[in-house]
Amino acid sequence: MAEPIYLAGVDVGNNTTEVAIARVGAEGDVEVLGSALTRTVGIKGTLRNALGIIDALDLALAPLGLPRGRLDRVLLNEATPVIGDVAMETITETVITESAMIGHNPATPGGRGLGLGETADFAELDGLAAGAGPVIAIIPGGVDFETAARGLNAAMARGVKVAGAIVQRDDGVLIHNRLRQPIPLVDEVRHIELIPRHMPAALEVAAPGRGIQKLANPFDVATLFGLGPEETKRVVPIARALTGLRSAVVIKTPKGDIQARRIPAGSLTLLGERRQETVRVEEGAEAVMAALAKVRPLAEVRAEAGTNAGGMFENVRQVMAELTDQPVSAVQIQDILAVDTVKPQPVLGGLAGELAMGNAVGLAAMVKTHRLPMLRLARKLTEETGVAVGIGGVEAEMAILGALTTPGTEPPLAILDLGGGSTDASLMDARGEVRSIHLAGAGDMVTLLIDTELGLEDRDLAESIKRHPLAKAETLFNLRHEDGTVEFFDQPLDPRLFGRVVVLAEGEMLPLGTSHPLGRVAEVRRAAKQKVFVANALRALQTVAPAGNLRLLGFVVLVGGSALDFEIPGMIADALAEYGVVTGRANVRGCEGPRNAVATGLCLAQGRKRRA
Amino acid sequence: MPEPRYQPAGASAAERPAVLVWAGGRVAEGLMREILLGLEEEGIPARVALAGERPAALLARRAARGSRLEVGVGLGGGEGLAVLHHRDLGERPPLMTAGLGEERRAELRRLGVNAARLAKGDPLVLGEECPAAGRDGGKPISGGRP
Repeated sequence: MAEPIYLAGVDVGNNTTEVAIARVGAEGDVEVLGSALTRTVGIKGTLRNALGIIDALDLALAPLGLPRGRLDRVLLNEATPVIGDVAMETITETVITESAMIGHNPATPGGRGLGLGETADFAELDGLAAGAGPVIAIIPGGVDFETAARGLNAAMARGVKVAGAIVQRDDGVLIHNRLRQPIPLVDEVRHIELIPRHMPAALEVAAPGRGIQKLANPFDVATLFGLGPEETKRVVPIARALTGLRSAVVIKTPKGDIQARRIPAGSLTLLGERRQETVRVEEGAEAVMAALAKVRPLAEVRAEAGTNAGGMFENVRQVMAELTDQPVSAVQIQDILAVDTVKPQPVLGGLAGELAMGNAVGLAAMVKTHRLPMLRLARKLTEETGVAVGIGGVEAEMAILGALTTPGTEPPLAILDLGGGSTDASLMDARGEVRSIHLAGAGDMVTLLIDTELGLEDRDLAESIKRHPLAKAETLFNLRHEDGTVEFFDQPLDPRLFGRVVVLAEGEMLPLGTSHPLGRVAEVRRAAKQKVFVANALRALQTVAPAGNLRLLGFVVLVGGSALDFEIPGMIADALAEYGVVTGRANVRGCEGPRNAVATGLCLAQGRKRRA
Repeated sequence: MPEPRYQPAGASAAERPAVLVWAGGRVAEGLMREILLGLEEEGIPARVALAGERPAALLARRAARGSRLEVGVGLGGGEGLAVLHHRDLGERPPLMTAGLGEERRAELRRLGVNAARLAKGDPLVLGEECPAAGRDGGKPISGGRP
């Protein structure tokens, strides 16, 4: 009668390293005794992983009273040799020539209404005679609000018509409050020196809570400036850019123009196993995905050298080549995901830091190579621990074995692993055969979309927004959560949070510096998850499902870290509900939740071997 | 609109909603004016009252208690301090403090802006006068959840 053996299953993931400790009896019966989870040290597949693995082993063994030397064997997962990368390509930009427009949202413009006149420097006002004008006064930062108000009052008293003013400092309300006749004022115009003098200009300030009406309507702009049909067509981009703002100035210059321009982002050639397609990235995500559908299954992607798209794919290949000790030329891109998005961008030639929403395409690429160097890692671990370390089995199969310990499941069962770089799906059919697919686009892509659309330029903050719910700090003592519930506190909140949208991260609250209302931030977050996770979950499951039919799946179990997300499981369950599939978060061995599936599977597989 | 009105001490709090600015002791008019300009640019009315020499924090707390907007500013001439308080803070330390000095004009204007923003529920403009705000403005705030 053989003795029972003790073994450890180890799953090294991109973010976490998970361990399960099990006793396997002579009959192949497996009892899982304990588990642990630590952060992965170093990039998955590198020797540095050993540090995290040893930590996790000790963490799991300590409560069992088992010394490390008592382990008969440690089994590593044969990690899926897949990495993903993401990039963003802007495909439109807004350019103003000759400074034709100022449209921005200073917090507190002065006065309200519409003013039409010729631009004139504040210093020129003194020289204007009675009856002159109407003028739009330009007040540079060197003139304080009292001097400005005095000058404007004096000019108006002399009979000069002043229709409005453009102010460099944040003084609009202060000046307005000191005028005897109210005029609209646009303030906080940074590059006031660039405003052309002695040109016809229209200035509009809307009431609080409203957007400008006239300057956002091309026909009103045509009426104000006496434009013909051709000229009116040219002001459409101006009117569009000004829609929804509280204040704006439009200046008619002889050659003034504003254009929405397309930026060439490069082309992609998708090489399928049978045919190939070339598509320009600036045609948008739909065109790219349509081309991909035509050539599927994809064998390789070639991007135009010297373009942004080319640079992105070059980067992915470099990282993967270094990781696997292969020449760059051996690394092939096996899937891409393109998503349309919008990106707030500074208007080129703008005078007050105006932003326009440019179109952009987000691209995720997935690369598959030969095996990750797990054998090297196994050898290193054997040296360090003195325990026999081997490769236990293919990750996807191990994950399914582990996921099947979820109460209430049976084959045919599909698992979805929504990771950082790739979306993976596997199916075990009723006969026990396993089929897997890895797709480009997952958590990193969602983070990129959030970062881009909100204009954060802070990946860490975008990552936090992705993972946590939002709230608004309404007073010094209360938060209103995104579902509308109010939470009160005994101690005052940090003043930095006051009046802001905050991310409720673990043990800390992160204020957002942007002026986006809470609803907009939440909408961007949810839309990004829909566009990437839900779209990819369906794409992946359709690939592994029998005959591509989701109705034949039976059970879909979410595993891995993103299964713990507060809204993704619900979104995917909603999307799959119409196919009559039982969808939910795994509960490995009835106690681990969506964690530890692979590590558990490694132990179970060993039991099967012993039995056989 | 005329210049902001200066009202005598003891004006009833039941009047129009305003941020109350209580000045204790001798406070240079020009410095107090910076605070009032900050409030004005943000569109929030202020009412000034002159009191005897008392600690600025005490004046600010009482002003906040008396304000229908629940926001008070206290100025201590002797101490050379301007203090911003909110009624909900009660006996807790004030929200922010700035020095009353010619070289602090920009800071005082900002304290006025923040008094208005506190009343409106808009995000504050934070600089050095806020003890809780370090130099790492955008960094995570640990333990922010009491």
